[in-house]
Amino acid sequence: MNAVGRTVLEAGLLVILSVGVGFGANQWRNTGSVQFQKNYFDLSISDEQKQKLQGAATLATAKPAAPAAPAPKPESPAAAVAHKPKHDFQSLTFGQVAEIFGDPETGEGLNVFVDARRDELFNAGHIPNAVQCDPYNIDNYIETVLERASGAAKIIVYCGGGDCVDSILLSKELVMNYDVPIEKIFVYEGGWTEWTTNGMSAETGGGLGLED
Amino acid sequence: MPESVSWPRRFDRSGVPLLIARLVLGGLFIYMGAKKVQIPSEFLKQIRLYQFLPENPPFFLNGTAIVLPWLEILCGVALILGLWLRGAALACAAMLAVFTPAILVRALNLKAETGVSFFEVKFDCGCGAGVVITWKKLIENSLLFLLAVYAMFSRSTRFCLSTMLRGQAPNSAPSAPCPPKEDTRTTSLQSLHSPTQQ
Repeated sequence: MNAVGRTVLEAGLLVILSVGVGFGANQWRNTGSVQFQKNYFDLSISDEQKQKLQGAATLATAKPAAPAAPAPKPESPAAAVAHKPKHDFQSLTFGQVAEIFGDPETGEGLNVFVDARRDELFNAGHIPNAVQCDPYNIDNYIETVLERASGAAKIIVYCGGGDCVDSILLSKELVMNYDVPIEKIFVYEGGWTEWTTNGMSAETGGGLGLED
Repeated sequence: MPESVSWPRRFDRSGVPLLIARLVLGGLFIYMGAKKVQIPSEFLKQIRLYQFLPENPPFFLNGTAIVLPWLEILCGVALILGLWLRGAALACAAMLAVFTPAILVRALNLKAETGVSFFEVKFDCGCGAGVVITWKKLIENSLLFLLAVYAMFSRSTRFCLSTMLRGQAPNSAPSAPCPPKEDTRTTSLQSLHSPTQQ
């Protein structure tokens, strides 16, 4: 075999080895694995799925979802421009979220904030009294979320804002797999970035510390 | 009379520049791969933002998120050990040849969308280094690409595990006999895997 063929063969063998090690490690890890066949970015709910959901009749007569609030002009070029896919949940503007946050009913547990970010980001800061639920490790958080959500009238789900779609992913998981009524779910698309840009209060810590 | 050898070739034969290239390239790839391996879901989200791979079917994005970090780590290890060296260098060069234009395109898109100067554009490229200043990252990647190409074409086999395992003398010993006269106008990989060392 000539040198070029040998070089290409070595590279090919490294790729094959990586496939084996990668999939093996993915199976073995306790948290944060990627499910090979799951489309994490198919965030819409089909009409057929909507028919099966509790509150489908409510959804059919509900007002159209509020248009997503435009992303605030980023102070730093690090803020990514949103590439949010379409979704079927009601969106909230910053003003609406701030109003809900200040509502006495929130303190009584009737409005629950759910943070869809991973431990490191949640611990660094989150909306006060928000409950964490990383959609990529949902089993570790779902019990607490369902407990808080069961008595809630509104469940406001948020993540980082900008390009982050984890809030929509989590909302779909809650609705499709955990029977949370879709009319209770609200997505705060501006997310943590917009919350902090507007100088709102924050809480730190409280994550489960499950990251590898 | 011994054939005179140009100083770049003599320098390359010493094995030192290749060793430095291997350590830098290999070390960086191991570090970046290890950062990505810690939270594959984060890497998945980052590669999606490039809109380079289709979201449907999900195998492309998910497979890349699962495999690519380990490819980086294994190539880094191979480079440092000097095992399958040129194949690892080829794989690194190929990855860099894909990543670097992708970063450039994304930076240009961000520049167009936000209206900031190109030199102010920064974002989390998914490389494992967090938010990076784009133009610096492009220069860094270009230099790494050159290192990878050099590692592919270097004639030295010194300090390589593969050489030791084959029980061969490294090619760059000063007292090694002069190589047969060769046509120096063409340089190819042909002689790199030759069992006879220069």
